[in-house]
Amino acid sequence: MLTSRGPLAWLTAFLARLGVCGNAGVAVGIVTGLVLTLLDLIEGPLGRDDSELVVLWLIPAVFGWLLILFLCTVFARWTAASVTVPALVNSVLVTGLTVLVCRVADLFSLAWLVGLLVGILVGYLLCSLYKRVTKG
Amino acid sequence: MACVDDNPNCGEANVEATPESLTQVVGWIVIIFGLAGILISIVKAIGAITVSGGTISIGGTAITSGLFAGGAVGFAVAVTTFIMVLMSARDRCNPSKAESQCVAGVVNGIVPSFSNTRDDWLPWQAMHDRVDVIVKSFYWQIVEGGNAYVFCTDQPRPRRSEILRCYFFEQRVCDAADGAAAGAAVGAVAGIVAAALIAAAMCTTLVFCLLGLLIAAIVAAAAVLGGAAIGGQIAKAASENKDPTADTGETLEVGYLVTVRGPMEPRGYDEGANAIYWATNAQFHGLSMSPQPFSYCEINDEFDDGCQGEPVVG
Repeated sequence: MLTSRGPLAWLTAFLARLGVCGNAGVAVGIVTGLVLTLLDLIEGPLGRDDSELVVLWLIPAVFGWLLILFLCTVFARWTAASVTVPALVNSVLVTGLTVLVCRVADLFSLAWLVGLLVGILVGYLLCSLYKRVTKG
Repeated sequence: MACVDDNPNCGEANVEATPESLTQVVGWIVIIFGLAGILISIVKAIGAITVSGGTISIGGTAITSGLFAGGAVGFAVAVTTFIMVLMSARDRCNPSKAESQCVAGVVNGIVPSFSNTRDDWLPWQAMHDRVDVIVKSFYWQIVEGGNAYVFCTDQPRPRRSEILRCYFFEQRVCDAADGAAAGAAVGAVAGIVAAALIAAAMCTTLVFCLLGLLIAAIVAAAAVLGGAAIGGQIAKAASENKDPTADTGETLEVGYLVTVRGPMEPRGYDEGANAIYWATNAQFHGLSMSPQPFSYCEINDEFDDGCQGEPVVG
């Protein structure tokens, strides 16, 4: 286990309230977002071509899926089988919405921030939905 | 001896809680990647960075844009992964500052360090020797402290008993974690260089560049984890295996009656249950004559433990 004292304490407390899906969404959003930001910097501006958007969505979605699987199996010590499908749904939604928002608002240069916010939102909603379904 | 009227509060307390280890790694991801994002945005906004024809110029220094992007991604991934290994090593080697508690009961199980195959691949996550103690019902208040998750035996009530996980420090685990951190540091440098070179080689078109950056991220993480695995294994091999022992030298075994003292805190590694991490002192009181599976019902009166007279702090 890692220690939670120090400057990380407030952030981990916030992330704990987001739930597992929220944490997964945040990780996927900010990591893939930073990659899109860098890509926009060196190959941009991104998002001029709609067919390009599908690539910008699907390739990071697969990467994000692998990232969640890695985090959940190595750090949370769950089995890959138990998180495969929810991780895929989370990643596809977060990366898709991030690319969409960046395209509409022309914010690929700030994709890391958009990804972070979308990850928080999507993750939180997924966790809320899951709780509602399992309690219902 | 009759069982008590109280029921143990087994499990369930924080079953929906987000694992602490996950929130901490995501916290570090947010900090490192967030800082990288802020830095890039500021540098771009003030015009200190210009890109033309596959070359990026930062403050007058020009490098291949792919090399820069790959290096940036590799740096963020490698540093985050390295911090995870380092923090884990700190946890395995530094004693807890939590309040010390005293519990007594019978040893119900022992989980030696490196008993799991994954500990060979991730030596920085290996855990010290764990001794599971079925505590006397007098100490349930301690085990349940802070509305923590509670491990219990499988027996039906009223024989169902609470189990406290007590870790015993093993130098080999600390050495492996330190070795892993050293290996991870070396791997991080190699990972950043490899990530930069991969992205530089692949940034020919948009799609290849995207793939290159993501592969660069994977390679950087793999280099750090690979370095950690190698470093941890080397350090582990050079260190001696020692089983958990009582103060008087007896190697603890299932069925031993013990009093254990040490800092106790809820631990994410143990599903949020309180655990003694790690034991500072263990008294051996002899072998239990109670029938197995053990229950507090017999253990309560089987021996006079070493905590008696100490206040129970819940």
